Amino acid sequence: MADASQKKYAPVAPTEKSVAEAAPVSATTGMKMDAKLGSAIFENNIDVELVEGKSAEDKAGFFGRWFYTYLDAIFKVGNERTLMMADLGAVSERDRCAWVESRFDIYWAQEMKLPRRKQSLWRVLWRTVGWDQLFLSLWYYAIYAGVTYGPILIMNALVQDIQGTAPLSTVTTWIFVALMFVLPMLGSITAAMSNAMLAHVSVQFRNVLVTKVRRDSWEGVGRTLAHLTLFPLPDRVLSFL
Amino acid sequence: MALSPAARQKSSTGQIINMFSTDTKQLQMFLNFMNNVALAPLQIIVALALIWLQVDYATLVGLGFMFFMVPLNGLIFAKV
Repeated sequence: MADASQKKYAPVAPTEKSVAEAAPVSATTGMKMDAKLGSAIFENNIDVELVEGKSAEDKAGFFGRWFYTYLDAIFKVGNERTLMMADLGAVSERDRCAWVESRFDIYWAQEMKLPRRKQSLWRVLWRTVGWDQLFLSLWYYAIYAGVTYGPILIMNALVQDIQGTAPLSTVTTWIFVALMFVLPMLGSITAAMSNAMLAHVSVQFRNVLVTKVRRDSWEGVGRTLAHLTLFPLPDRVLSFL
Repeated sequence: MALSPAARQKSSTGQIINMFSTDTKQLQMFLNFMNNVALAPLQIIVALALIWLQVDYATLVGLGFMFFMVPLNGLIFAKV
């Protein structure tokens, strides 16, 4: 016989009725509504895999996206009880299989028209998610990498000022001191944005590849992928790491 | 991933999907490090240039020591 804790967390298949009684899922529900749904699900010991509607990130404004304030509601709920799938809200539109798969199919078909030696799965994947994602994430990371040196250079200048070897004006000194605090924060924000973008891309890559192989396996044409060299670089880097 | 026709006949769809799933997970992990990999050489060059401005030729001693430690690190981590 199962003990109480096992019983409490044992997975129970949700039924239409149980989910409907817990809380309505609507395309217009916000994070607050999702949290309410999550509470109801937690109390009723049921779970759902997907909440429809726009994701919290997609709904967030400029400030929310850059400072991740859209996660506040999740942190608040997580502080009070165990998080449920529904608490996380809807999956971002761009992370869904349907979105990436439809784009992948177009670029895959174009790639297949090229001679076999020129075909590149890597290129198809980046075209699917958009090259801008790669360059923008690299750009944000480059900003982070650049501003990392800021405090070091400023510190050097301040030390020379204190030594009297290269005096700074009062205004410059205060600007440098202020930058000592601002630059690390700017670096953190841009690094976080870069990482978030690549996290999305990695999910999209995985979704589309798994979906593609599964679909091709069903159709019995797994051979279409077999001849492509698949990411020797990532494999080597990961082996090194 | 490349399979010979013989190997393809031996592999079931489930096996291929399992392998591919693992590969895609590796790719997912790689993307988290990709920016680091791309920009690390540039960061090292800039850092060395800044050190050079401060200590001139002494930079080479540090650089030499770093290269000396590379195989040693590899040896140690291979055993971990």
